[in-house]
Amino acid sequence: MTDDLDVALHELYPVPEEDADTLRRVRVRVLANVEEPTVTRRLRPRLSLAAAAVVLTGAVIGVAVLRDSAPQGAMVEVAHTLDAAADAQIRTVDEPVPAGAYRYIATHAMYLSQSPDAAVLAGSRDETWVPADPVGEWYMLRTDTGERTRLLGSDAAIKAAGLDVRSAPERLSGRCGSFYPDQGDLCNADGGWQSPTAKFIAGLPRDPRELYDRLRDDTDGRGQDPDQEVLVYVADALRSGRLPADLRAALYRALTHLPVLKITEQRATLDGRTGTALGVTAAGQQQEIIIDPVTGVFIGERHRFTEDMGGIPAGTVTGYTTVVYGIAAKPWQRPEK
Amino acid sequence: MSSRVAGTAGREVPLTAGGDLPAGSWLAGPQASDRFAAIFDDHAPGLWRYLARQVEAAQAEDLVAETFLTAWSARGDYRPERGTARAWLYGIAVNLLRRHHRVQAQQQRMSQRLSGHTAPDDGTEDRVAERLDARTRLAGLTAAIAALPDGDREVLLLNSLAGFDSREIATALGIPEGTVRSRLHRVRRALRAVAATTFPPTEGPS
Repeated sequence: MTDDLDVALHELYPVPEEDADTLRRVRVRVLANVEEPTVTRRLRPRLSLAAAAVVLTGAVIGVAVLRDSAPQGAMVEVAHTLDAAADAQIRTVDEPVPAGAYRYIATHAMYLSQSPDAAVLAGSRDETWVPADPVGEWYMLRTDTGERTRLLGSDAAIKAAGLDVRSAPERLSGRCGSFYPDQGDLCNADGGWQSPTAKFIAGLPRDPRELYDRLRDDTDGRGQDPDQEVLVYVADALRSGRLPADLRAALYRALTHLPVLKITEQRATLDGRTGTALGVTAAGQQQEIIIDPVTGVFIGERHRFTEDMGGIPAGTVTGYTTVVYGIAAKPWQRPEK
Repeated sequence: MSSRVAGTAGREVPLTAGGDLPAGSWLAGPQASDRFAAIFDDHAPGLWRYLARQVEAAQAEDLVAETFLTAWSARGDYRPERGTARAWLYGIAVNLLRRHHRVQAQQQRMSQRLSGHTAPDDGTEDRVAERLDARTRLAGLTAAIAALPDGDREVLLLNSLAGFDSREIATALGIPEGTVRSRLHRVRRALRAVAATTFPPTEGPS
């Protein structure tokens, strides 16, 4: 029975605006933990064996056993989040590009730009048009967005270092994305994690374990921290926007083997898009990737200092990139939707 | 780009407790997580709405997650024969909400002490404005609801906002049905008197 009191109560407690993403996020978060007991049960005997191994033969074997064992505790949630994202990514096949049209890849980056006594985060947008047949002419519009976030130094210091100067937009074109002369022939180049070419992408294994091993090999001896460097390479490749959906899914699954990866933020928002942040913190820095746990869409990557460094306080975000895909009818034209 | 999400449609999970399952084991066994996922899909939207009408949306999101996680770890206590899954879940949520309000009241007192003035209400700016507007007109009612003992307020809101009947409220709060009816009667009568003075009767359905 509804009466005036109910009317008043309904006005006092207005019905909030619904947001489908909210419940999808909660669902992933809840169901990740719902499967945990099964995993824990399965792991327990192996863990006690690992513990025994440490006692009997020393720490070296203990480390090896732990590395090889399946994830546990908080890592179960990481693994579940990545697996769910990978499953969705497999179903989310990249929309095929009709003949004559272009795949549109837009990346928005805030990157660290500094002088000895000033530092800002500067905004840049790269829009790339890749033809349906990638062995063709690519186009890129590189724009300095003019965004500047002060991290260090006075206005005068920033000005003196020229960090506030906005550069003019660049319109570039080249076969297979070879926009600058020093890039050479990218149609046949081997490429790498930082500049994934068609040949590089085709050569990467899709089996998650093999892909993880490949990442380990390629990052060996590089960066400040071996585990973090794996995520840095993954972030580099994803940030390029060039990776196809099957490889993105394989990378998510490969990351479930990275023992130190943690969920660093359940609801991380970059450029207005919200997802789960997974990160590795080491050597005074944190690298994160942000993915939509439900659709598997790669939203972006972000890095920050976790210790004071060069006058920039701990916790400061020192850069991020977001990626958006679409289909465009012509070069220099943005997708309609 | 296409970003199709695989839906849950088509999944065949029994939603009612089978008579052949012993009490308490309904959420055990190999299909337990599927059944739990089905319960989530059925009840999470309503629960989120119920909570988001009382707290900020992001807090409601956390409370929904916490409710279902608590429910999962306490699934051995769930007795389908004693009431609906909805009553069980809202019962958990109401307890979490009570704790949330307690913590928030403490924080508000602390920030008042530190800053010397009242801390802003939770919620986004629009929601705050909307609520303040409603609250100015309904100040008397707001004060009267705030002054209610937790148990009375919970009975009232489960009834008015979530549409629970006395029996469901009794299951959710773990109190006798007769107690719910008498509380509800007492609280509504008292509040109707307050509302009538601050909120003139409506002409009809709006």
